[in-house]
Amino acid sequence: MNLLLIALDWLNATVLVYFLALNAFYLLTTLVAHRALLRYARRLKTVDIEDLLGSAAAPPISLLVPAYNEALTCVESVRSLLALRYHAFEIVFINDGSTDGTLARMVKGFDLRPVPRAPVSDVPSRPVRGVYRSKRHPALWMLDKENGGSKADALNAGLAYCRTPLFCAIDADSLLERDALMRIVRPFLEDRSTVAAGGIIRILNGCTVRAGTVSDVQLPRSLLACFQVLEYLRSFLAGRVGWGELNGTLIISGAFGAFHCETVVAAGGYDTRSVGEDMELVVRLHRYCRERGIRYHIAFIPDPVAWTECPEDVATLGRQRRRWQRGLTETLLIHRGMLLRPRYGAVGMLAFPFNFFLEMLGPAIEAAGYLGIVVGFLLGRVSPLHALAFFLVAFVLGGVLSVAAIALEEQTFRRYPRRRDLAGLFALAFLEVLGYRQLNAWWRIQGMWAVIRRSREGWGVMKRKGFATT
Amino acid sequence: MWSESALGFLVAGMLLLCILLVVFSAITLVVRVRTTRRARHWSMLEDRWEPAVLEALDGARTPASVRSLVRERDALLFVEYVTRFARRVRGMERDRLAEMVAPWLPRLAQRLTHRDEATRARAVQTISLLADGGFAGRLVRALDDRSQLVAMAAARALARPERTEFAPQLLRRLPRFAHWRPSFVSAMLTEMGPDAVPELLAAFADPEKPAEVRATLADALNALNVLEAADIAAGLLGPQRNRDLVAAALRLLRNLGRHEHVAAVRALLTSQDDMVRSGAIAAFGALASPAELELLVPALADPSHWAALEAARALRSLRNGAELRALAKRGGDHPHAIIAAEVLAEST
Repeated sequence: MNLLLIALDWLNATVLVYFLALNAFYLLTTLVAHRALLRYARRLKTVDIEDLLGSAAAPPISLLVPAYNEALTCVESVRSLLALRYHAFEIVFINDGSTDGTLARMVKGFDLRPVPRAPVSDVPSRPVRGVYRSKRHPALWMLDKENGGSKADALNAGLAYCRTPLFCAIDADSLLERDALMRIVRPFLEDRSTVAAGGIIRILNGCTVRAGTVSDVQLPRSLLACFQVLEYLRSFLAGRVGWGELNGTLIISGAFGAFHCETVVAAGGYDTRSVGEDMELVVRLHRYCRERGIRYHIAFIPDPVAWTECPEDVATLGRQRRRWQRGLTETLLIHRGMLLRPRYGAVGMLAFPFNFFLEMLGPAIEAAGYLGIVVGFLLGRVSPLHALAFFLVAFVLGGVLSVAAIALEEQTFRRYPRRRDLAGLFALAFLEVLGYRQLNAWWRIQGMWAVIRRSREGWGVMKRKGFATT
Repeated sequence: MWSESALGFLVAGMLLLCILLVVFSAITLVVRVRTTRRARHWSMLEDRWEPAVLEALDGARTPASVRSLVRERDALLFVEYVTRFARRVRGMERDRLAEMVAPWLPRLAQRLTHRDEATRARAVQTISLLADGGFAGRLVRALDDRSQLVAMAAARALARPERTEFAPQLLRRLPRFAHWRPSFVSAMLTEMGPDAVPELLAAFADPEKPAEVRATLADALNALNVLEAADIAAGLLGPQRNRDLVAAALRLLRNLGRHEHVAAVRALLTSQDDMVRSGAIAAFGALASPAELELLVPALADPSHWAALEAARALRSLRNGAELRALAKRGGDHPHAIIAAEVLAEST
C-alpha cells in the first residue's frame, strides 16, 4: 500500500511538472507569436501582391497533388487550382493507383493524353505507368503510378518529375486562395536560403464556396468542426508562428507547403516509412542542412491560406488524430539523435525536446494524471479541493490560450467577421476543455500504441462532403 | 491537507491567469470595435473621394479641386487611398494623382525616419509612386536604411527607366541584396531598361564585384539581350569560379553567345558539377556547328537527367534526330530512352 501511495505521489508530481511545462511553452509561443504576428501584419502592408504577380521575378513552381481514390472531388479540386493567380506554375496530379475511377475522371474532365516525359531526378517511388498532359490546359500533367500505399510515395513520384526550382505539396481536397502561391513564394524571394515555407490551414466546413473560392467565412454548424476551427487557430497562429519565430518550425502541413526542390531531392525526398511524411521531411531538412553546414531557413507565414474540410464525425476525427500522433511519434523516434544536441540549434535544444517530451509523451502522462486523480481520490490522497483547484486551473488556462489565439486572429486577419461567430469562438474556448480535450488525449494514446504495435497504415482515408459550391 | 504557501501559489496563479484572460478578451473586443469603426470611416471617406478622383483621372475636374474634399486630419489617409490607383495607372493619369497629393508628401516623407521599418518602407513606396524628382535624394538615402525591407523598397523604386541616373548608386549597393533571391534582384535590374546597360555592363565586367552580384547582373543583361555581355561572360568560364556565376554566364551565352565562345564552353562539358555541366551542354548546343555537336552524343547517357535532357535537345537537329530516334527505340533498355522520346515529341 505504501508503495502505491509513493507511486501515486510521484505520478501526481510528474503530471504537475508536465502540466506546468506544457502550458509554459504554450504561453511562451503565444506571446512570441503575438509580437511576431503584429510585426508581420504591418510588414504585409508593404507587399503589393499585384506587383509581385505581374513580375517575372517569381520563380516557376510545380503543384504536386497526390491522390488516392479521389474520384468524387478530383476534377473540382484541380479546376480550382487551375484558377490560381501565378505567372508560371504547373500542376502535377499524381494518381496513386486509385481503384475508384479517379484516372478516368481526370482523363475525361481535362482531356488528358499520354505523352512521353522523363523524370529529372532519382527519388525512389513505385513505378509510374504513364504520364498524361491536358490538351486544354497545357500546365496540367498527371502521373499514373502503381499504388505505393502512402502519400509519401506518391509525392516522391511527383518530385522525380518536378522541373521547377520550387514545388508546393498540397492535398487533393485542399482549396487554395487565389493568391496563395504568390504569398507562399515570398519567403523564397526575400531569403535565398529558404528551403521550405508553410502556409496556414483553415477549416472550410460552414463556409460558402463560389467558383472555387471561399466567398463567405463562418463557423460550421457541427460542434466537432467548431472545436477544430479553434484548434487550428491556436495551432497555426499561436503555435506555428511562435515556433517559427524561435527558429523551431518542425512541421509544415502536408495540405499546403512550398519547398526548394533541389534541397528536398538532395535530402532524399519523402520518407515512406512514416505516416507523418510532412513533419518527417521538415525535420530531415533541418538535419540535412545542419549536418552539412548549409545556411538555410524554414519559414512559417500566416497569410497564404489553404482551406480544408475537417471531419465532422467522431470516428473519422479519431482516425485522423491517431494518424497525426503516429506521424509525430515515428518522426521523433527516427530522428531521436537530434534530441538535446546543440549542433541542431533551437531545433535540437528547444523544439525537439518540446515535441518529444510534451507532445509525444504528453497524452500518456495526461491520461495517467486522470487515472491518478481518480485513484488518489478513492484512496483519500487527493482532496476534493485539490482536484477542483487543478481542474479550475486547467479550465482557465485552456481558455486563456484559446482566447489569446482568437485575439491574434482578430488583430491580424479577421476571417470571422460575424459577431455571432466571435461569441461562438469565445464559448468554444471553454467548452473545449470539457470532453473534447480528453477525447483527443485518448486518440493520441491510441496513435502511440499503433507505433508500438507497428501496425501498417497507408493513405489516411477521410469521409468527405466535397466543396459546397454555389 | 494543503500548505498555506501552496494555496497562496495557486491563488496567485489563478489570479494571473484571470488577468491574462481579461487582457486577451479585452484586446479582442477593443480591436473588433476599432476595426468596425475604422471600416465605417474608410467607407464614408471612399464614398466621398471616389467620384471626384475618378473624374479627375478622366480630366473632368482638376486635381487641385479634389483636395478641397480632404480634411487636413484625413490627408495621409487620402494619400494612401490615391496610392491604390497610382499602382495601376501610368503616364498622365499618374501625374494627375501625384498633383492631387503633392502638398501632403512632405508630411509623408517624415515617415521615412519612423522607427517601424514597415512604415518607412511604405513611405518609400508611396513617395516613389507619387513624388516627382524632388524626393529622389531621399530614396537614394533609403538605400542605406538599416532595414533590408526599406533598402529593397528604395532599390525597386529607383530601378525604373526614368531614374537611370541613379543606376550607379543602386549598383554600388547590390551586395546588400545578396541574400535575396537572385532572380528577384535581376528582374528588378532589368526594369531599368536599355538606358542602364552601360552601367550594368561595367558592373558585370568589374572583377572586384562579388560573384553573386555578377551572376545577378549576367541574368539582367541576358534578359535585356545585351550582346556585348557575351564576351565578358565567356571570360568568366573557368573551373575555379563560383558555380552560380558560371551557370549564369552559361545561360547568357546560350542566348547571346557566338560561335567564337564555343571553346570556352566546351571546357565545361566535363565539369563535375551537374548544374554547370547541364548549362554547358545547353550553351554548347546553341553555339556549336553541326560537326561539333557530335561531341554531345555521349552526353545522352549522362548520369544527370538534366544534362541528358539538354544533350537530347541540342541533338534534335543532328542528322534529323537520328540519334534520338535510335535511343527512343531502345525503350526500357536505356534509362534515358524516355528523354529522347520526350524531345522528339516536343519537336512534332
